[in-house]
Amino acid sequence: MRILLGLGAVCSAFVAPPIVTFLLMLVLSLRYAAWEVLFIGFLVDCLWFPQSAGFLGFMPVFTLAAIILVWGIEPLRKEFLTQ
Amino acid sequence: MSLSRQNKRIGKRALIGATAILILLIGVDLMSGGAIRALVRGSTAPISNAGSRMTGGGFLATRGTLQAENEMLRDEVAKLTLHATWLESLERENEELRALVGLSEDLSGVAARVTSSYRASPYGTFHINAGSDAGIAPGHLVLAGEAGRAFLLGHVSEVNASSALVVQIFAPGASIEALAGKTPLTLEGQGGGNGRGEISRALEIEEGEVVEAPSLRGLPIGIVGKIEEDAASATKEVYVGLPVNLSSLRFVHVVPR
Repeated sequence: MRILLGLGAVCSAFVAPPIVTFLLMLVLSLRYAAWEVLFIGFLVDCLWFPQSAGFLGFMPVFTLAAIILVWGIEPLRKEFLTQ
Repeated sequence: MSLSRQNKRIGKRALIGATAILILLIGVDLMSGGAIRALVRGSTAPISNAGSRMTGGGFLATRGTLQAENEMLRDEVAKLTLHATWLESLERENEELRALVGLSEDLSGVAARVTSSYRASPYGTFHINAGSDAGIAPGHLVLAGEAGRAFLLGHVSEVNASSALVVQIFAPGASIEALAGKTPLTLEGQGGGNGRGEISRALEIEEGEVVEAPSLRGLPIGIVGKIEEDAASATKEVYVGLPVNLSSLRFVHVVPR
């Protein structure tokens, strides 16, 4: 299941709306100690994040979201959710 | 020590290791001016291209269409239908290319194919299959439409040898100074080729008016789609949209700024 969710998130990074990738990253982080979420977030930003980001006021949202998901949800997952 | 506890410890070590690698990758990317991103984009370009063709080209647009096509392919009639569809698609592509030829007579530049999905990017960006080898540089403008009716889609942000990343004019969070007729307004990008701006109630503006960007060669960037006015407010909201269907757009024209 973890591999399927991971592959789904990688595929959706290329073709699906960003919310789909984010939801898959969220599910992975809630269910597992998913280190791959960090790289999926980084992949999204590698693919789509423009260098002229400062001009537009963007931030690499997906890399930041991945770090927050993985480390922010870790205590919650450890306490209440299954490993 | 129980097995579950041991697993948890291994999981945490993996997380710490992955975070350290991620930080290292970000650091290398920043110091090298985007080398990691260029590498990822270059190596995943065929996947991105194939994905956009499957989801955006109409061939696999919906599951219903696909099922219907599968049934029809079983007999001869379906083969003929498919053939006709294929011819129609070629005809449409031909028309788009002819429009681009007309456009390149008006503005000197390069025609390029869109190689990624428009909806997958959280930053309002998309990829094209022309890069520095074709003379494209950061800041170049990307247009769509026909000669005399071309609309500005965005600007080139990053360039590789054979591909480039384009940021849409109406990318979420972007803002641009524009002119609707004689009325100046600041538009904020909403994504999907739509922008929103506020102007004083005293100013005149009409639906259907072409909006231009004086700072970008005075090229048209959209059409006023809707004006919302509230009697209690000193301003009115103006919604501007591109008259181009982004999801069906396959070719663009890139011109110097």
